[in-house]
Amino acid sequence: MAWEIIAEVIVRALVEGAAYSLLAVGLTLIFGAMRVLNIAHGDLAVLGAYICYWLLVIFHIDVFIGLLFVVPLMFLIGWGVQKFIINPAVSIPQFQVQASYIITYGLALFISNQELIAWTADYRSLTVAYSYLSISVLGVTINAPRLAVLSVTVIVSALYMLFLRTRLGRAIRACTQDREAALLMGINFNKLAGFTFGISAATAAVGGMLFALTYTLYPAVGLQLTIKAVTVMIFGGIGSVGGALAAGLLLGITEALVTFVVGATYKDLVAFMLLVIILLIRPTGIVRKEFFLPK
Amino acid sequence: MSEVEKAKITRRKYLKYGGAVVAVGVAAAAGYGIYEATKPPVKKEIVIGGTLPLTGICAMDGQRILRATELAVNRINEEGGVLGKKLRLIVYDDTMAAEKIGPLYEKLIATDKVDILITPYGAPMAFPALTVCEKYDKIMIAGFVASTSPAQRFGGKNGFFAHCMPRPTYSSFYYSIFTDMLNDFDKWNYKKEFTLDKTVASINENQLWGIEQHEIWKPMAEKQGWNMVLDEFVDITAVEFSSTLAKIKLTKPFLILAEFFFFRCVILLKQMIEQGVSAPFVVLGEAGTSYDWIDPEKGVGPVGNGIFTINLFPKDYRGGDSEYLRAKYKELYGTIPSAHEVTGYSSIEIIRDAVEKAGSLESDALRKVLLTEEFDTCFTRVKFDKEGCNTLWEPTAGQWQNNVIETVWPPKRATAKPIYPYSP
Repeated sequence: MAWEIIAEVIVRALVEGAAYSLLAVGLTLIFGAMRVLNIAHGDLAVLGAYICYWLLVIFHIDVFIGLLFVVPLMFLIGWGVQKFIINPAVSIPQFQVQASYIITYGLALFISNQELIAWTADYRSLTVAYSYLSISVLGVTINAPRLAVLSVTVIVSALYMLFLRTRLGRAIRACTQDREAALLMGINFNKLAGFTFGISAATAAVGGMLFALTYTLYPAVGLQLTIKAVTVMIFGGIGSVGGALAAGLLLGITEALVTFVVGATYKDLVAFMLLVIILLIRPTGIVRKEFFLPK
Repeated sequence: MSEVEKAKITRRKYLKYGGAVVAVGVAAAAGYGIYEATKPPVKKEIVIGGTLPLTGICAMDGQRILRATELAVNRINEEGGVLGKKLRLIVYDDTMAAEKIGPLYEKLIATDKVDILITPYGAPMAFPALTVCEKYDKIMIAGFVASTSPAQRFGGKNGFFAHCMPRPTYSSFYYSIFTDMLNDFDKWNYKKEFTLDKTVASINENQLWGIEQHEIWKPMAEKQGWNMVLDEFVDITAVEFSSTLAKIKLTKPFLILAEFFFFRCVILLKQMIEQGVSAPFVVLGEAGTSYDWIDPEKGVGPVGNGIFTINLFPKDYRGGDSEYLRAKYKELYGTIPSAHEVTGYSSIEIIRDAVEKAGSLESDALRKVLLTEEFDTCFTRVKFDKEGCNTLWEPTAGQWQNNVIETVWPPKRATAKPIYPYSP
């Protein structure tokens, strides 16, 4: 009985970690390729989740089917944000990172407050027909939404790995490694930037929907998601998609085991201690070997 | 001297005396003007001020308190106001950030010239506000402030009055009402297959009033023979409780007692159901603070029935403007008001009655009335003690049954029997 309970703890930790991984992947992609820290990342995730929510409530469209509409929409929104808001703000390279903090923070405030005005501060749950359906495998019980979170994360991760091997994906990886050299090789950075931001926003929307499916949704939660995603991004190595995926899962398991063994009060303490230790021992993150900061 | 010269001299005299009269008149007029300008203006309205979290993490709660507060102000104004003056409400958004509270209350008092204040949401926010009020000797009526720490420092004669802080059960009412109920289990138990097992798993949010209540309740409960099989605090930002619930599953308590903000109660119950964690008695203290609890989109839906909760607006209560509040709120917002709305509305009722009885807005006069008189509000009857806590409020334990909160304890107030064991 006890080992089954511990196994359940680990499985649920993987689910929590998976949701954070998904959020961190998009963030690390754009920071690696574009040197832009998108503080509005969590709020874009929340926006995607809200669209899924209203599709469910008004049109009774299942959240996963709703993603077929939300993902392209959020891609377009992300592309538009990069083209019309980020791009003009980060035109001077030596101030790019600082400018990106300020402009994306403003964007985060704008999105969350528009959500507040439009949809009030009421807490929302993505409650679907199978929200309380549970499956038992080898004595470990997991409910359908959590299983869906794990499955979607695996699928999206696989898609990411495939994508990074495409021409466009290789271009993004090149920009992550050395943007100047990539530009010299003829990569059109402006087109790339819009596309990268679009992918990031689309991935964020998926992560946001999965988060709302498992927990709850309200306008102010976006910044908390961003903080979590940034932590996972740093932990995994800036610019490393694989690192973000691994780091999210590792962080989720660590937090769960600490809570189970020591107590919930120490959860955040241990998580951040782990982050500090990793940064001291391996500042480039648990996966990535080196990261070149812009001069 | 010729007649012409005499006349000239006379005109000069007239001009001299006339000029003197005009000068005196001008001086008098100027003096009167200065007096009028520096005289304190006669206020045509009574200004009530405060801050609430209208955006940010507790925006839902803050907005609901504001709705009910505005409702109270509008009703009083429709009825002619207080002492012939209309009420005006000024509420700033503090975004639940303590560092904003002090400057906002300074602004309310020094710039907006408010006459009476209402508290921000929650005790940690109340402290900076009360410091400012004390500096300006202003009276503050609490809205939703559950911790008694502010009253100990600022209560009663120091200007702070909190009708939602009860005596004599003091600060542990969120917890002790349920252990009190179960201490008498053998008297009211109608299912003989159940016997009392005094094991309790307690999970609390790591914030001021949760810690405070727990510190008072725990020794009381242990003295009554309760065994804490789990006693944990979780961070106020936590949304994942799997590990803690796994420990509860291992310990199999008779009572689960969790004190979280409303939306975390929603998350907690869903995760409990998912993990198959339960107990015969499950208390989620703030599950009764909003009727969104049984809403499938905003809360937990029908599985929320059977959960015990603190009952801050019993359905049979008819005091003050409670019936008006129920009807009007439902008309305007489509739902029954609950804890936050009621405490917001009742703070305005207290202000209205205190000002009328005092006949004045002076702090000393108001203080005297607040410390000596009784008040009848939509929330509860009120009689403040010297620490500004309410000696007449009797908390009741509620349980969600058939999508409404029934009062199940104490027996003299009960509108229904407790239903147990909890089964989602």
